[in-house]
Amino acid sequence: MASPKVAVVGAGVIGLSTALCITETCPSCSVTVLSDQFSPNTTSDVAAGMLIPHTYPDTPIHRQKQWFKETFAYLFAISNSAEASEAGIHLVSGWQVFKSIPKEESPFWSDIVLGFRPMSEAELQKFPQHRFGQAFTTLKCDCPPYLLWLEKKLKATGIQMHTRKVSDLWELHGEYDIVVNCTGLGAHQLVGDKQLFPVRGQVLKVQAPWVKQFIRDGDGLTYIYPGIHRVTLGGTREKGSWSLSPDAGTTRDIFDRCCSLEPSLQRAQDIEVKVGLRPSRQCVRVQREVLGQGGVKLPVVHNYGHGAGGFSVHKGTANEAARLVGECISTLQGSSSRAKL
Amino acid sequence: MRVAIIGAGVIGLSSALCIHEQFHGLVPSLELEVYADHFTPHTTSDGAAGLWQPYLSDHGNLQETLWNKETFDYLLGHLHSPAAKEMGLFLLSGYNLFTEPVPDPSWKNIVLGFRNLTPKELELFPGYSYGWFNTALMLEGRSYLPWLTNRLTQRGVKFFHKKVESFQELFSQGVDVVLNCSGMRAGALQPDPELQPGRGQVIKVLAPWVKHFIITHDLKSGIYNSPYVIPGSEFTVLGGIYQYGNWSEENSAKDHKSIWDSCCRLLPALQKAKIVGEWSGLRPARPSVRLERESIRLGNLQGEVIHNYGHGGFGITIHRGCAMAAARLFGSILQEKRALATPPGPRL
Repeated sequence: MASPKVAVVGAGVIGLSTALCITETCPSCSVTVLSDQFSPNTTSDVAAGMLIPHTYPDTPIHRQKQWFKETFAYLFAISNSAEASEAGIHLVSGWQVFKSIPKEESPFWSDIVLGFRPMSEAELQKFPQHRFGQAFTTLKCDCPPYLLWLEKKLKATGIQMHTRKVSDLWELHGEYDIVVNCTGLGAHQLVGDKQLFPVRGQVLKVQAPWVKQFIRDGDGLTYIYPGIHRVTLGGTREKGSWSLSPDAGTTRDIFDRCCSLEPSLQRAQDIEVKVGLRPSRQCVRVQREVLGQGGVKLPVVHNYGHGAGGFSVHKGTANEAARLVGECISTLQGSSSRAKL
Repeated sequence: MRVAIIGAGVIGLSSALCIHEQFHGLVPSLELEVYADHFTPHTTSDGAAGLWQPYLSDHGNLQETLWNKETFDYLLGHLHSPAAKEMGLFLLSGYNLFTEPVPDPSWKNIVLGFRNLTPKELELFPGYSYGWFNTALMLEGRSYLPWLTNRLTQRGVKFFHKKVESFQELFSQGVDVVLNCSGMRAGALQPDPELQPGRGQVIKVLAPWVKHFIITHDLKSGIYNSPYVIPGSEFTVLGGIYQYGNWSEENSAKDHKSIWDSCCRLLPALQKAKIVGEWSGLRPARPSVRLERESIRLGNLQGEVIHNYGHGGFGITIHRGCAMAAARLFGSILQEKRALATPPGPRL
């Protein structure tokens, strides 16, 4: 197995970052990205890309923390470099506010973001309906810039990217030695994962360049995330909804909720409405599997089900998926050398 | 009663507004007139980035610290008003960076969330080993001055595009009180050797990914002689020049290079930023703000002057506190005039 052929299916933040990781850890691999959608039409393009982790109920916390830590460190280095603006990565400070005191005052990621501390009384006065808050500085990955930057880096390593709808992983057998499944919500159909479900999110992307700070309600439903050119206003968490059509009533509701947190948004211009379906799961599936059919084997590495937390852990899960690809390769090389005996 | 305000920068316009707000109901004959050779967008206030932040030390000048606080609290109170965007007012957080530990500033409890920087934050800024993080306010002169002008125009205040040569010139026309808010050029109206230019130069760039102010300090070179980056609502200001005694308002190529190189070292991503403008201005520097009354007599001409100038690089930071103080001085002038104006006479 001189040059293992790896197909990465999916070109959102998970697919692209995983492809890049694989090529960096396994330079002899020939990696191809296959996806029916590329930026700006992926789920990732709708997301604000804020590094504020989502807690997966069934993934051990230490593992989630490790993923977040690796992702934060990786992006922190880019934000500090000359590539920051092209990559769309920037620091942003702000507040997470709660109407009632949260069960845990310090989330598991509080020591990874910068300057995490409770809000002062003076700061809370800006939010008369909220009783408690946290102030911190974190990172934001603006899309499309981040995805385009990843695509550029991938192309520079010689990786091919093809628009192709993969309806069955077995289609790829023969062409590729290993398949990496980064299809997000597509895995529901592609591998029949019934544990995967959409959580519909509608957001508004507006022009309000004077808004330089993020504000997030601790309930996760209302948030204001300033990006490079636009501010993302959110949102909704509609479990089980597959609808990608914007809803006008929801738009009004999001706008009102955000204006009550930040009144100056009344003056926001040029409102764009977007919808994304978070590929949600009780735990992120980062796992090896060997598919078998009629005596033939197909090694698969799954990396999907990141739900609301894709950006926050993408690099960590990409690193893990790349390690699993390495294991697949070792296994293949082991069995091919056994075959020679 | 005719009141003339000399100067249409942030100091002149806010002083005029304070006086009109407080006294137009009490003095039916009150007429306010603003005289200036430069109006927005050509004043010193327009060139400033607009960040509320006093100097590092108040040098024991508690009065100025109180005026700074009054201004901050006034602006904070307007943050949620519908006028905020029109005023050019918004919250902004950021970093002050040092190469050695320094005492906390006089304004640490005025701003929001003041704290020291953590070691991980300092990794962002190689070469700096100590610093502060806090949330302050931006008040962009380009928006605030037109907003003030609109409020004043609505109130019937008149504007005159004219360079006033002397206080006497106004008194001889029948002006009763002059507010001297002439900033850098106050010395032309009345010599003041303590007033000197603190020349600054800035480069305006498009860098919308920058969401924090970053102000570095070199305690040896003095305030604002070390790079700073201040993101505004339309462009980001790069600066770091303070030349005491330099009257030139021409952009200097040497200063441009110094600002550009030092800011790009601080924030490497700025190398990709597009330059959209450059500006030089003169901070009206003085050991302390001159905010006081003076009675001027020349021959048979007499009038009251309220001086309100010498705000250096903190005019926007201190403007409201000073405007209120100027209004109080105006009130005392009114008191005295009323006392004198009451004619003694027989009671009926």
